[in-house]
Amino acid sequence: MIMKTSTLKCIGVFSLLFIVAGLQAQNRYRVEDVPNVQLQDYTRYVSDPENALDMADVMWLDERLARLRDSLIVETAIVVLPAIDRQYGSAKEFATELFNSWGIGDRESHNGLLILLLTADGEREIVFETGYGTEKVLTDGFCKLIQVQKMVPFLKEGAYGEGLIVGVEEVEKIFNGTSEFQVKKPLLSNNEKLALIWLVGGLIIIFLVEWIRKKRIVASDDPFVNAAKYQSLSGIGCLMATLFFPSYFLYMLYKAIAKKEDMPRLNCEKCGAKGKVVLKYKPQVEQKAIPGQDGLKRYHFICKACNHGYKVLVPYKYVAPQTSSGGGSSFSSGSSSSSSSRGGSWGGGRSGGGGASTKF
Amino acid sequence: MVSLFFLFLILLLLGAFVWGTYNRLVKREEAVKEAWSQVENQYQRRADLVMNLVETVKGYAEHERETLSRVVEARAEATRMMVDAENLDAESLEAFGKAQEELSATLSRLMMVIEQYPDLKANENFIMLQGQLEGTENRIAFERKEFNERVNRYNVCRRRFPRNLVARLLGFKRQPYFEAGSGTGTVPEVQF
Repeated sequence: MIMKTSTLKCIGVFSLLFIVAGLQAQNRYRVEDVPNVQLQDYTRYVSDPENALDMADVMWLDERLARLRDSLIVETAIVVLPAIDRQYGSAKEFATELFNSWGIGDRESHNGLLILLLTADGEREIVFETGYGTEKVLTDGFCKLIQVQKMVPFLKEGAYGEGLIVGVEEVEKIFNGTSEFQVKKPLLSNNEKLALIWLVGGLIIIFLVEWIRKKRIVASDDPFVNAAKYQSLSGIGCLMATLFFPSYFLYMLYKAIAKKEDMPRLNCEKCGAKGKVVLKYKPQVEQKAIPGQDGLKRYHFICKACNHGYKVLVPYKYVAPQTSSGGGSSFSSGSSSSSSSRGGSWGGGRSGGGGASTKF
Repeated sequence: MVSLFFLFLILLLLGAFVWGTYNRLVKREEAVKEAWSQVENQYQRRADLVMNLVETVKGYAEHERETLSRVVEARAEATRMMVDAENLDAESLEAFGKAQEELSATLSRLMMVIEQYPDLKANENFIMLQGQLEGTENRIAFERKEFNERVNRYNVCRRRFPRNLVARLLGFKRQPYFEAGSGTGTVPEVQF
């Protein structure tokens, strides 16, 4: 019996302890209850009255936020509380009020940011409150994305320090313009890379083919045959055109601009005019080429000065009919810019309710 | 002679009082109008975002045509309703509020439906929009509070004796508050 009463007493004391502990854990804060660490010590940016974070994490965050403030980007305060008083409609409302009561951010540029983390069961929430200036770069949408995709996975596991660190890093990236959220796409998608290879590779091949072509033609003595051969080799040009039509188009453009002519300049034998002899008609097939046997093409040249005509017969090789198709390509690039502004003192920044909050 | 002088003095003081009161009331009235335009701006921003949201959701939730079209209708209705800041009266404010509430309600339904589409919930674009939309709701709440505070300041100034005599004489009307309906102003959150 005595044993029983003592155990009962024990249970009573323990349950009382638990109730007290529970009340402690449910400590509800009002805006004016939150210790303003920055006022006490200018190197501190993290207000964590219930010590929910590891000391090391707090130090890391303090250091990082000091650097962020010094680099004129954004003035950040982190507040970690178990829960907020019920007088506030939402954590966001609380954050707005706290932000404006502390005046986070510069008075002129309003580059403040408040990160509020609530940790009590059923109250868990991460809130970003952005100043009027901050919200222009760190939009509500980015806030939400950072929370949902970067922070919540950690916070859900109770890793508050890691969650906040990741969040701060991501915010910094947003201001540097290097966040994956901003750089929506890599500069070139895979398709576009293929298209680029096609274009550049095509150009290289076309120039190579052209170079070989010229080399082969120099081998012949008769300038007329050489000239004709230029034409006869147009089959390869045609192949190039179908295979790499954008590159071929560029090549033609290059030739037109550089005024490069296909044919070597021919001099008239009769009147001696230099470079006046041109091809008059399209070459006509004298003898059709079949697989295994060359054909013959007749070329008519004419001197523009004296109308003297030349006829040249040139053999040509059989070219198997080619079919090819090409696809269009498009290029786009995403770029983003960020702006930064002078940081000032904790005391003047205003927020109009910008930011985002996510329960987890 | 002395009585004439006193009459003159009293008239002068009265004139100065009327003048001062008039200027003060005008200043506060202007502040109210300015606050109202801010409120409307935020509602306009929300309407714009709703359009983007509908476009994004469309691609993922083909079967929710009906919910989507209801949102679009409510949005059209809400954007049609505009209140002239020059004459804010209780009726038009109520009608405006009602149209906006209707949009909030259809949005809530849409968000509830979206819970069933995990692909959509993971979509970056959607998360961004969701954040922007929530942000706009917060801003609306903030600007509405600001508006009501300014209205309060104006009304109190207008009703205090002896200014109320001047206000009545010069035709300064009481400004209506912009009350939020029950359970509006917040889009239910999608759980991530």
